[in-house]
Amino acid sequence: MQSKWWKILGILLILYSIIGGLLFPVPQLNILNETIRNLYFHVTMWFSMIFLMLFSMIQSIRFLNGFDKTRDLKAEAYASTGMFMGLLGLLTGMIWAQFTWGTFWVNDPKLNGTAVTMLIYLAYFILRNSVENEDSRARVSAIYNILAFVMMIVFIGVLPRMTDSLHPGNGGNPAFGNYDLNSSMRMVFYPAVIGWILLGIWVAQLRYRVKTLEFNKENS
Amino acid sequence: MFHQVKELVLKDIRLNGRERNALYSMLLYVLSTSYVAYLSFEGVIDKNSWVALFWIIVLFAAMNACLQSFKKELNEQGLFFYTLANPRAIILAKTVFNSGLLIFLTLASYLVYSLFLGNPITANISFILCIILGSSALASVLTLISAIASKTTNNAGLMAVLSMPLLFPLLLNLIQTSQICLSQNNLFIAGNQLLFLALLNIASVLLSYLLFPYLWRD
Repeated sequence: MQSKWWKILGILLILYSIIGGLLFPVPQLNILNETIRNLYFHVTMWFSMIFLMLFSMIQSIRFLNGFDKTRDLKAEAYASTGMFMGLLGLLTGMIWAQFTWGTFWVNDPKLNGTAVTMLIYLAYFILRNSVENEDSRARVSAIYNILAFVMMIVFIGVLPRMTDSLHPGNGGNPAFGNYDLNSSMRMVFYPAVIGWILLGIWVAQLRYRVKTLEFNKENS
Repeated sequence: MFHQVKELVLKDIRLNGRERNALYSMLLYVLSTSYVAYLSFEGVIDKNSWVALFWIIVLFAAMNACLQSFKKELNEQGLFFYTLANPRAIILAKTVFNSGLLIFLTLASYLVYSLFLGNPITANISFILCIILGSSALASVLTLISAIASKTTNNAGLMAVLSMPLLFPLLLNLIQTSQICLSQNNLFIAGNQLLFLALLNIASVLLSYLLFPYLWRD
């Protein structure tokens, strides 16, 4: 992961998605109008958040197999980067909701699910700070991280499907995938997702390296 | 394994039988919160608020009940248990015991609560099923959380912070199921929701079964 090519690729993909997202033609739809371009920014944030949380959980599982301290630091770095992405996703979503649904916040299962996801990961960071022994801190937070990821998938995956939602694809609302997300939007959307995930991994790695330096400084 | 689980559950039941104070204080908690609800609503409450308030009372009672689960096992006596029993047997036994305790507590609060505020439920069988599945799901999540929280310095405060967001989908589902039980006396309509509760139960027990041994070893 030390090589440079994927970092450059990530930046190029994001640059492409910003330019393409603002300039390429999009379908003209009622209510949504030009705000549909927010799809490239809002939905990609959620995608990269879920991937970063997944990486964080994988690091936690690998930590429990062998108790390697660096895995714990990596898990924390991925989780905090994912949290930041989630916050950006929430903000872009709120702006979009203001222009299409009329308010910043609606009582929608997906919004509730994501709000609670934020609370879960905030609890994860609080938990990390409230265990004094370093060995048991790593272990306890790894366990909570795995539990948190499974519960998060339940929230944002299963629960909204059981009730009505304003989001596309739920409760009778058509999904973008059915006819709205045409091929020209896909051409921007998928590269954007990959680009933001790569950028997220890069940021998480930087954070991990800073944390490692701090950790070594304290223990030397 | 199953023999160990059985013995550990019996041990917990015997310990609780000897120190009944804990059980009495939980019952008193349910009684007094129901009475506070009765006083503040002056005995008249609409159906949806009835359901929401009922599950909030149950949630806090459950949190209190599970808070002290690992008071004995993860401290000095922990070393003693460590030589005797399999950690997986310990967590399964705790989960079984807490599920039993919470089912009893929730049924008791249903009784007390409907005494004060009336009982608008029409589908009794579905609601009882919902109480049983819901309490055991609450118990299995809260048991693992209390094990995690007992490793920290401020465990009472952290217990609420850690468990509240994790229990949110469960609570939402319980409230929805109960709202179905208000109007329709049909087991199949609530069936979908009850299935979800059962699956959540299985998932959380499986997670505690897999993860607890790592927490135990210190």
